[in-house]
Amino acid sequence: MNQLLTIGLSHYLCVGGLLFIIGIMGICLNRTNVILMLMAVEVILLAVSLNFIAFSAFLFDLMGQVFVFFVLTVGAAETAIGLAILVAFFRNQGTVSVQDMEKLKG
Amino acid sequence: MVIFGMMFYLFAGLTLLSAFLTLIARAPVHSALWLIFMFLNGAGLFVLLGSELLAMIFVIVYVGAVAVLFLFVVMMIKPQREVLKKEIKWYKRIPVLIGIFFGSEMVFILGGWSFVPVASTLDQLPSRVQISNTTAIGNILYTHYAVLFEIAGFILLGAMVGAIVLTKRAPKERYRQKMSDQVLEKKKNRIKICHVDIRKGV
Amino acid sequence: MTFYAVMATFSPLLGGCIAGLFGCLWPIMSMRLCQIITTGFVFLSALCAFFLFKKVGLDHTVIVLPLFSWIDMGSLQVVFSLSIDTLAVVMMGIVTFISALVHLYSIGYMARDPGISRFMTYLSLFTFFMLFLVVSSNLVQLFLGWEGVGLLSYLLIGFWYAKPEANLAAQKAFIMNRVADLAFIVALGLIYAVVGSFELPVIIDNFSLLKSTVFSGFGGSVSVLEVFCLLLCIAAMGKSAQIGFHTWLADAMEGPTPVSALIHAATMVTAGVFLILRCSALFEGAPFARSVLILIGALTAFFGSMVAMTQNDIKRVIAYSTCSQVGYMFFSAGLLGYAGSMFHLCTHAFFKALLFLGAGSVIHAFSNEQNLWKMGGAAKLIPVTYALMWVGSLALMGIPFFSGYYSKETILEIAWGSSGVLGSLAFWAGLLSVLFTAFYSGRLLFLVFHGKARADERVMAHLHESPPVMIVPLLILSLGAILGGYVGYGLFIENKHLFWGNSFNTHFEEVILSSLHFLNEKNAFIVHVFPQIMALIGLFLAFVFYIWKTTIPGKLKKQFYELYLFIYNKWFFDELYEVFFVKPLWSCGNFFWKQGDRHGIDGGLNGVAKAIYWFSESVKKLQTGFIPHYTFVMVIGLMMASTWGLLQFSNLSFKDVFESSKAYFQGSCVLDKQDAVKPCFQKEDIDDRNR
Repeated sequence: MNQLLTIGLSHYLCVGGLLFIIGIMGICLNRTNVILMLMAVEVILLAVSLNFIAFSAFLFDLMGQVFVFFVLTVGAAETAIGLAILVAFFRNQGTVSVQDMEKLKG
Repeated sequence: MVIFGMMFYLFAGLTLLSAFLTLIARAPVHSALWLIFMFLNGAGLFVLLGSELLAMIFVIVYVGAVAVLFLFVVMMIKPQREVLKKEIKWYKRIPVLIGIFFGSEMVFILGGWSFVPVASTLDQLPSRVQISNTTAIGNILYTHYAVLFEIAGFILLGAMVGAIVLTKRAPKERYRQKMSDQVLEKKKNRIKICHVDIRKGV
Repeated sequence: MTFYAVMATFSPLLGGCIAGLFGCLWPIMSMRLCQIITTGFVFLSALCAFFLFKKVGLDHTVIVLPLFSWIDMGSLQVVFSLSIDTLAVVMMGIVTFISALVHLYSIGYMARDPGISRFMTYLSLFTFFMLFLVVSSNLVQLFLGWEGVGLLSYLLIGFWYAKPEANLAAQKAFIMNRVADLAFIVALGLIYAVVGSFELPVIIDNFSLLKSTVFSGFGGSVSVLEVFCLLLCIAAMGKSAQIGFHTWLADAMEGPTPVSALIHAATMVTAGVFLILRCSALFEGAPFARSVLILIGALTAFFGSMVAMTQNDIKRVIAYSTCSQVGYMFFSAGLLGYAGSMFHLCTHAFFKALLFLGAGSVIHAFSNEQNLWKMGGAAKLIPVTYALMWVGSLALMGIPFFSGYYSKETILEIAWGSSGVLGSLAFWAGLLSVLFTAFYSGRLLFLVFHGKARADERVMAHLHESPPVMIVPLLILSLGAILGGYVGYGLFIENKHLFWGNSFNTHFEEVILSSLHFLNEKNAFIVHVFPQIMALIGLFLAFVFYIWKTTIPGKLKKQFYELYLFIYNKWFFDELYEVFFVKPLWSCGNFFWKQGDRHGIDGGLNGVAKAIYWFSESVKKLQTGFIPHYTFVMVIGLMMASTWGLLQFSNLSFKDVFESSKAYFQGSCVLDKQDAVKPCFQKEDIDDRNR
């Protein structure tokens, strides 16, 4: 019990990995709404951030935290643009369903 | 220590649960709300790792801005109850396979990972001099990473401009007064003089 | 001197370029100005050529004037040069003189044509290339001029390009000439391979080398000289429309009449003869090539005059007459009678140009009618043309004291005097041709000018004499046709050694039979009187047939219908070519076009395009446009990358992995493997921070 409650780096890595897997599965799982895909991307970003911070903390190295900062920036930008595209798309097509997005079909 | 452990398990479990629920919730609004909850719990994990600044930023940026943006967009877009088309139903099984794959890989990694020898030399954290996390990040962010920081700012600016351009509607044709046209207008262009016979009409 | 030489050669080029390049600037360059400029420059050229003639021909100097180096590659040196000896200067005089008169005539003849500037440009350029051919001292420059006149001939035959016949005739002429030019090119290659130079003096100096170098094979051997001369002979045959290559000349009459007069009578067709005379020193050592020359010449003289008797188109009659007369020049050259050949070339240029231009005048008068049977009775209405045509025809027949008499007489004497079967064959063929020549000339005259009018009344009412600008050149030419023989005989034949100098530089002793000295009294009758008698008989027959008893031709035609058909269809040369060359080539070309080009090359390319299209079509299916597919592919890539990284950066074998994971799940935890690295959130730290 005591052993379990002593939290090491691996615990955090486990959490990050599981979050990552959930995110990946979410991207592949969702078929009805593109917004959910974007949310899954956010989950993956959280997983990555968690890994960065965990390593940063356990290695006494601030670089990881700085990186999380930039990841966060890019993630925010990506979300803004993605949602803007989504809005524009919805305005044109009247749907954001993943399965209807077939305009690129060759 | 025990409290730490329990807190960790609490936050970790809630993060994973809410991430899961985010992705399987029926209504997109619920998804967005679960996402907010996931971020809050993630921020809790960050606090446990000692990086309060990033935890706060996460709360502000993700919970306060991004997730709210999600909520807005979800509400702007009319809710759709869609049935999956038959031919893509089998895709539902793919995520399971992917999950199994990555899960097993994770087990491999956790089973055998170690630090590289140089890792212990990467000692940049001035924890020994007892300054707060925020100060430490600020110290190196505005010195070593100043350029990257500026670039990040420009990325955000670009994203903002891009988002505005993408969502802006094309302006409608508007009537405007043109002084020169008015002044240059001739009588013959506007007035047609007809000689109309009486009782004949034009 | 230098100035005269350069001016004589290049002023037609200058005039042609001005008219051609600026002729389209209408307000500045009117059509009339084009005519005046080109004609003026050609007259200038003629004037210079006259001075040159005086200097070179009469004062016996030779001008050699290198202009610039054209090709300079190692041992291959070709220099543009003006090299003017007596032969060249005589030819220059003829060319510029006739050309100037034709230019003048064209002002009247082409007055209402929309393409005047183009026409005058072509004429001037033709004159330039002809002069360029004449003055060259090396074979490459000569070949350039040779091709140039061929090109301009093509352009001028096809001048009325809206007429399909004209285009076809132009192509025919060009292709026939190309076939012959191939021989010229091969000759060039041969001479370069053996001698290593294209300069004619160098080639002639290497005479013995050429003679001793021998091709052997097939059980025999032949000297390079023979082959070279034979190739030149073929080239000359093409340009001079000798039998076998003659078919283009009659069709070339589709071009405007001044063109026929200048190119297809007076100058270009005699370029072949000129080439042979230029290389006369070589031909002397090539008896077989000379035999071929004699045979071809005699046959052509006979053939041309025979066919001319039955043709109904006025220009075609004269065209075949040209063929026949050039045949005389050929066999004379073959019999070593170079001076006679050149003499006939000169007189022929005069009277044939006169005939052609006169025919043009007749055609002009008859409202562009060319059929002899739709003319007639025009003598009183166009008396000047009538008189001039008589002059030209009498000169052609060889009636005494006209120019043709002297030259033809000389040639027949040469033929008679030469020993051997071929010489006598040439003589008898020539003699028979005299009869035929007189007959068709008479026929032409009687049909056009005598008898009753067969044209309709509208045409007859419109019948008129040509304007002075057309008549004046005719008058000048007729002077040449009357007096040229007498003057030329004294100059070219009686004083030939003095006059020609080294132009016909012979290696052997003078084998050429001096026509006057050789003949003994016994044979004098046959040679001197017989041709005139034949000519008079021919003329008389024509008179009987077409004036007196006009029913005879019809009867004869019925009697000897097959023979008539044979002659009328020009010995079926065109038909034979059609069967033997055109059809096989056509089907061959068709085969290569359809099978080779369309199926092979195009098919190959289309096949590649189709394969790419097919490939793209199938690859296109990968692009479903369906987002889950893209994400799926992305995730697969991620999986592969992570697997690769896993195997690359951990020194794990799968066995290790299995062992350690078993240990992990069994509880012997490896999580604390990193206990050495303490997390930074140890309790004391945090407590410190909270403080």
